[in-house]
Order: sequence, then C-alpha cells, then structure tokens
Amino acid sequence: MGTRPVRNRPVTIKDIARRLGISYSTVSRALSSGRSHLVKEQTRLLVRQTAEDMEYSPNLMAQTFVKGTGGVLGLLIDRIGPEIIGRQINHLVRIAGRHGYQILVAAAADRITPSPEDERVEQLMQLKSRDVDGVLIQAAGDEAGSARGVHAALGKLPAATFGPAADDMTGVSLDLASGIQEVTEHLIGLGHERICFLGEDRVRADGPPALERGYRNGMRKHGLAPRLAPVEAVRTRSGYHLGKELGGRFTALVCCCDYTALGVCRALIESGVRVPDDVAVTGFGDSEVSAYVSPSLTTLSIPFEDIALTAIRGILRQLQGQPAPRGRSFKPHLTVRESCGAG
Amino acid sequence: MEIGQKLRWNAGCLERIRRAGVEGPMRKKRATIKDIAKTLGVSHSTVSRALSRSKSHMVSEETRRQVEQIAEECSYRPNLLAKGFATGKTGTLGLLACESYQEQAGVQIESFLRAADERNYRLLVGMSAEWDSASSGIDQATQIEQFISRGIDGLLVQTIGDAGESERILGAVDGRVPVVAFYYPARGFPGVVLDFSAGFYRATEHLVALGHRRIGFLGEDWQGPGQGASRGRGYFNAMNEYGLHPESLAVGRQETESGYQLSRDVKDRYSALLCCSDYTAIGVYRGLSESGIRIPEDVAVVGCGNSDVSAFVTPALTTQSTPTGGIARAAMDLMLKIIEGQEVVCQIVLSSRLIVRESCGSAIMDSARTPT
Repeated sequence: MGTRPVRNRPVTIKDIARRLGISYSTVSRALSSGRSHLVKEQTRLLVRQTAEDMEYSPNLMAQTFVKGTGGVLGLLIDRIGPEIIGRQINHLVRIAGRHGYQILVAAAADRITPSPEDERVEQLMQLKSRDVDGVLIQAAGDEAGSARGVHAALGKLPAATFGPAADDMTGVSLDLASGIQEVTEHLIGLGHERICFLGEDRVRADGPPALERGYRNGMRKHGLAPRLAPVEAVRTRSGYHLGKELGGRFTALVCCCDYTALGVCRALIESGVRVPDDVAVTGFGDSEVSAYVSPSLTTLSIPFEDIALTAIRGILRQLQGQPAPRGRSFKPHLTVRESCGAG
Repeated sequence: MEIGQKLRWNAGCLERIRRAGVEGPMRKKRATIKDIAKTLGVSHSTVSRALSRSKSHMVSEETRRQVEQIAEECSYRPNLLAKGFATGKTGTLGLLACESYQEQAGVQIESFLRAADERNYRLLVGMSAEWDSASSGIDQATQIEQFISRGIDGLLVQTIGDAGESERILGAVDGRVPVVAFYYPARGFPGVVLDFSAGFYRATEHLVALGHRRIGFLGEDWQGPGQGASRGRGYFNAMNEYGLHPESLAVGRQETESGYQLSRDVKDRYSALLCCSDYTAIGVYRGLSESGIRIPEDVAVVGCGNSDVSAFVTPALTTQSTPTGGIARAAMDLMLKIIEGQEVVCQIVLSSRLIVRESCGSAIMDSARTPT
C-alpha cells in the first residue's frame, strides 16, 4: 500500500555533539559566527563538516523567540489550481511552521500573458514590499534563462526554487520529464505501442510542458509515434470524457494526474473495457486514494516532503549568512500497481 | 519652458518609466504616482485621486482617463506596504489551518487561496499543531501572535471543536483583529460551520430506509469532546431514533489506510458502513473487495465530502457534499463584511447534502421494489 511520509526529526546541536563526543556548547560555539574563535581551528572544521553531513539547520524557531519576531517566507506560485501545488503548499507551510515561519502566498495571474516572467517579477516585488525574509519560488518553465528577471528582482533576498526546472537558482528541482519517460518506457516494455498521453491543454511560449516532453522522449526513443489528448481543467470529469472517447483506440493511456486517470478508468470500466487487460492506465502524483481504488493505480510518487524540507533548509542557511546550498534534483518515483498490467 | 520642450521632456520621462516598470531585469525602481504625475504635468495628489476608487469623482473625466492610460502603460501598481501605512490596512488575511499531512488539507488551503485571490487579498498561511499533542509544531497562540505582528487585516482560523478552543483563540487575538472561524462553531466570534450531525443523521436514515439494521460508523466516537464528534452524533441519534444499536470504529489519521484496515476486521459484521470521509470509504472499498465482499450487494458504503473522485470510483460513492470551496468563500465574505464595518450574522451554517450514487445500493432496492 501507499508509502507513508516519514517524519524527520530535525538534527540538533546535541546530535552533533553526541556523534563527535564533545560538549554541545563547543558545537554551538564552533557553528556560531561570533564565537567560533573560542574553539580550536581543527574542532571548528570538524564540527562544521559534521553539521553539513548531518544536514543540520539551526532551529530558527528558538532563535525567533530570542529575537522576538516570527519570520515570513514568501511563496510565489505560478497559479492556484492543480491539486499537486495544493499538496506541495501544505508541506511547505507545515515545515516552515516548524522553523517558526509563516508563508505569504502570491500567485501569478492565471492567464497566458505575453510575458509570464513580468507577471512573476511583479508578484515578487509585491512580496518584497511586504518585507518577507526569503522567497520560495515555484519554478516556471524548463528553459534556462527564463528566471533572469526574477533573479534580478530578488537582489540579495534569500530564495529557493522548487519545481520542474533545473535552472541556476539554488533550489530543488523535480525531474518531471524523466518521470513520465520512465512510465512511458515501462508501458513500452510491457509490449504497448499505441500509447496516448493525456496532458494539460496549456500552450505556453516556453515550449511543451515537461510532462509532455518526457512522454515524447520515451516514444521517440523506441520509434513510436506520439499521440496527445488535451485534458481540461476539471480533471476527473475530463478524464472520464477522454476515457469514453479514446478507449478502443489505444492500448495504454498515460495521464498527467491521478485524478484524470481515475476518471479514465471509470469510463473504460463503464464501456466494458477492462483495465489493465484491455487498456493500461497510469497516473501522476500518487494521490492518497490511488493505492486503494480498483484497479489500484500505477503512478509517479512525488517526494513533496523532501522537496519542502530541502527548499526551506536552503533558505534558512542563507538567512544564517551561509552560502546557498547547491541545487538538488529529485526524481518522481515509479510506483507500479495494478492499472498498468505489471503489478 | 516652451510647450514643445515640455512635451519632449515628458516623452523622455515616459520612456524612463516604461523601462523602469516593464523591463524586468533592467528594473531599477518601480513606477510611482510621482512618475505618472511628472509625465502628465499634473500634481501627484491629482494622480492619487484619479486612481482611487472613492476619490476619482474629484478629478475631471478627461484627467482620470489620461492618468489611467499612463498607469496602464507603465504597469503602475500601488505599493501595498506604503498603502498599508496610510490606511492601516495590509490587504492580507491570516489563514491558520491545522497541521496535517493529508491531501484534503492542501485542497482546503488551495480553495482559500482562490477565494482570497478573487477578492484581491493575499493570504499569510500558517499551521498550528493543536491537533497532535506529540507534534513539535508551534501552538495556536504563538502562531496568532506572529500573524498579528506581521500585519493582517483579519484572521481566518480553522477550528477543531474542542472545549476551551474559542476562549484560547479570543485570548490570543485580544481584540486586535477580527476573527472568523471555519469548520466548527466558536463562541464569541463569527464563523462558517458545517453541520455534520444533520448530514449524518440523514445518511443513516437513508440506509435504514433501504432496509439496513446493522450499520457501522467509521469515525470519531460520538461521545468525544466538543463538536469534533458531530458526525458520530448524527449517526448515533438516527440509530437511537430507529431503535438500532450504534457502533463506532475509530479512524486513524491516515484515513484511507485506516478505512482499509478496519474493513478487513469488520468484514461481515455489518450490512452497511457509514464513513467519516470519502477517503475512509475508498479504503473500505479496497479492503472489502480484497475479502471478496461486493459493494453494494453485500455491504453498502456511504462517504462524506463529495471529493473529486467520489463519482468516478466503482461503484460510484454515495456521499455527502461538504462544500470545501463554499466554506472558503463564505468565510472570506464574512471577513470582508466585518472589515468594512458591516453588521454580520454570527454564524453561517452550511449543511451537507446527501448525494445518492451506486455504493449504497439504492438502485438495487429500487429495482427490487419494482412490481413485476
């Protein structure tokens, strides 16, 4: 059944002290910028290395109490809508809260603007005008350089991106394309050739969305022709209609979200098409119910919690005057269940 | 100054504003009211009036049009922080939700973000760990203090319905900002409440009408403290009313998994299972089908929440609509009315509606009843 989130207890100074067998005041001194001269150079280096290895980040919550104010992190999202971002926000707010931060959300307008970048920069300026301590930015597109304006607008404000793009901003990227490519190739490996991708119908200036690109790559690699069907906003219902329409024409349907896939499954079952015997279906996002529906859904699980932790830790370090950590990339995990025919 | 000279100067100024306002990476400084005033050669109080909703009648129609055009061209947007200083308003509301790992929590936050966005408000979001005593998260009072110190026009707070909660919240807010509760009733401040007990009463009644006697409830026990147990109370009252024996099974935090586990334990003890949420019901689906028990022929299942997928699982889930989006919109409207100083009703009750689909077996009963 579905994987449960593991609650990570934050690493404290005491953990570092225990590992090194020294007192925790030594660790505290070694890590402090003002008092590190009180410990030997060798100890200081050892402590800092260990802190790095253990992914220690200072408990700003406690520091907040000392300083008397709580912090606010801005969160810039592309638009309010897909349930995926709702789930990610939930984890970001929760983890930020544990470090004494609240989240101020700004959403770029939900429309296709001539320059989405300008809209993002404007939203960012609004967040800055509210005096946020740092900004979490949902990465916009795939191509490098799209974030230049955002970079410039940020100035020295600590920031971390999260999302599909692997650009040069410090942050967390989620490799959506390779995830969908893996699913596509998994289906090809099971003998499917007529595979259709049910993706978001949203044409943007910056080329095909990552998910679609991953699907295309997978198909191209095996010399198969890509076929696309656009999914509308209300996803389960849209999936249902597409399922009715596409059922007999393909042997496998790769969906851009679990809800779409569940709608597709219902339509197929109603039409007497068996899943996965006649048509294989896969989802994306590993929704809470996906392991429990019949057939249970083969899907890609997203490490929401790890993404949130890494992004927020990145900002906390910058707030501590440390350099921004290098970007980290996560891959969605292929969770094979019944709906693809291999589970 | 010659007229032509002035025009040239204005054109140069406009160019400068355009650059400042539109070209992101080159941006040095955002366009301000003063820039617009210089461009048009009018005073900045005229520009301010022209752009203000309540004072635009003080300037001529022609001036207003020109100001709006220039503001549009140079992408002028008011500086909210400065505006906050002047009006004492921040255009920001605090949303204090309960800490949760669950998908529904994300859906709930998202519906508040949408409702706030539609009303031109920003949301400052926090979560309190009130639900989970083992959690190391921040408590409600600290969160509230933090919200207020950062400047909010009002606080939307998710209530959990336990004893003393209202007093705790009121004490922490201390009259500094208006408060609106959502989910469970609060004493002493307004709120948007879901009446679960009536909904579960009706759902139970529906199952009884279909001939069920052994109806189990999967959810929080009705004897629990406060309003948190309102679902169970609706069920309990209905069972009592019909002289049936009520039985509840506690559902854990992981509602879907919990439904799955429980359904394997109860197997044939019940002919109908009333679940506290759609998530629990879908877990029950899986557990029953793995045990070879058919829904609804062997066991009827009813959920709550009318989640996106409930109509599309097989069999389609009979459930109760709990308008997540409706709660957000109602709470937001209530808050805006209070901010504007309007009189408000103290509590808005949203009742749930029974949505009959396949999983309760109504269709089977109907066909059985049809005389042949």
